Amino acid sequence: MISEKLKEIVRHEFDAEGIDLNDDTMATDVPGWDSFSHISIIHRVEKEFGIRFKPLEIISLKNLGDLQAFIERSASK
Amino acid sequence: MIFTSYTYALFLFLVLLIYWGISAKWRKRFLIFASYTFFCSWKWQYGFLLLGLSVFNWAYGRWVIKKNGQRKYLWPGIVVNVSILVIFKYTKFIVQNISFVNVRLGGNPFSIPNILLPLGISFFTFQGVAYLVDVASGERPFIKLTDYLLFKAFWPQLIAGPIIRPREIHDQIENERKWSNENIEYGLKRILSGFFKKVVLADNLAPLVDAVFLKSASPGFIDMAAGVLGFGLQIYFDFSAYSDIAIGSARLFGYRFPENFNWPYLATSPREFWSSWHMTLSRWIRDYLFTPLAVSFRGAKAYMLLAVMISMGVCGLWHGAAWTFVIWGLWHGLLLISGELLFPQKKKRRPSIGYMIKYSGWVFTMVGVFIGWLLFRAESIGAIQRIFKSVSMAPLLKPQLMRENQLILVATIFLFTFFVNLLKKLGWQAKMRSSQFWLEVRPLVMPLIYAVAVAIIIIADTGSKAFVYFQF
Repeated sequence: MISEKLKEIVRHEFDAEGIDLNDDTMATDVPGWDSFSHISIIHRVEKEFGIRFKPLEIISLKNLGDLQAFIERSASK
Repeated sequence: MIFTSYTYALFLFLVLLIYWGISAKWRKRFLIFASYTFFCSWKWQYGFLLLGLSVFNWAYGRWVIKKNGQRKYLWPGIVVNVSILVIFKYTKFIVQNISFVNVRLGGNPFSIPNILLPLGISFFTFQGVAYLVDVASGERPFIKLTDYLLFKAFWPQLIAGPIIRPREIHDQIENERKWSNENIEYGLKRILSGFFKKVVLADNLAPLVDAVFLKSASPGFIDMAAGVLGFGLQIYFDFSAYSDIAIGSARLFGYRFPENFNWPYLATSPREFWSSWHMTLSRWIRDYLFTPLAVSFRGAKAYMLLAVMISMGVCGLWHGAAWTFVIWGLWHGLLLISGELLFPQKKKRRPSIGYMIKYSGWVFTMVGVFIGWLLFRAESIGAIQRIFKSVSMAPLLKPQLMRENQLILVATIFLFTFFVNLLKKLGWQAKMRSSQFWLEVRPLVMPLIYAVAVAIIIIADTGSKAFVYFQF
């Protein structure tokens, strides 16, 4: 399940309230989600959740579900 | 063996016939054999390079990275792939530059090595890097060597992409491909479209463009503008034709490749251009270069811009071992950054202002992209200077090289391309296709269109010219 906090970060990036987000949502499903917004979201997630990504970890993220799982794993460490 | 040749048509027909005629268990091996035949028909010795690098990447992914699960083992694998690319593609460039500096310092010039560039090396080494990075980041590696050899060597994507990611084709290679009439129909249509774009459009634009960029030419402004516009069209038709034939050929054997182009000349921002031009390369640059750099440079916005410039500089250098390509890449880096500043897309606006920004964004992007093609096409920095000098000395609106009919030809092809693209993008073409009238006339009209297209291709064929992207 995607947390409200993560949804809020993504919606804020695209300035779109009604955007439908779930575990399977991929970057290509969201109009305007490109390399710049991707980095912006990653930086925001790092800041909000107090975690740090390594480049390879980002490459392995395929959808929002993966990102959520990564945040949870990092938080429990 | 060039895609748009009778030799290739015969090769494709024979391989297709045998492929679907033999038992399913032999098909993959047969495709590998056919792919190496295709590759070696150009220079057989480099077949060993491809085979060696393929076996290395397969073994490294499976036995070193996956087994150890440690990311530090990734780097040596990347170094091997990149070194092969550097040795074959950039040795001459590096020695030339060192020699240039040495001469400036009062030394003697070095002898410049002349290494023949193996076809497709930029593509298959980049794909090798991507494969190892994907495996290191958790993607499952190919277990069987034959599966990996096919992934790497399958000829439609071997020479000039699309640069396929393992996850896009892994299941397709592991599971038996089934004959389907739809696949054959789709594949043939794409191949025909590719032949038309290359033989009729790109190859006929080429001589007009070449005339402007000749060393002895003295173009005026109109000639240069038409030459640059013509080259932008030529390279688009050339490369998207190659991609059409690649995607179409693969589909005949039951394989689906990712798309490489999505109407790039309608892009309303530089970033939209790069997400619709050579899409499988731009996502490579994004995933394996820009994102890791931007994440490592976290924090200040200035570092993000630096990541853009480095990524686009490398993107330029990937296209060719010359400073003009680096400048072209950096120019696109600047375009991307200024596009972000001038036309931010995310903010909510009134529709009228939104449209205005979109249209001015399109003009900005196209002017930037076509100026970029001048840098891309010029053979050296000296050639760019020569062209500008000649333009500045000639009368502004009087063509020096091109005849009126040639100018009209370039303008017509541009307008035709623009409107066809626009119809597709606005969804009008899809609407027309589902109309009752079209459904009724389609069985009559389509065979006629295909027959006319084939006839035009045969008439327009001026001898197979190599694809522009083969030199990369």
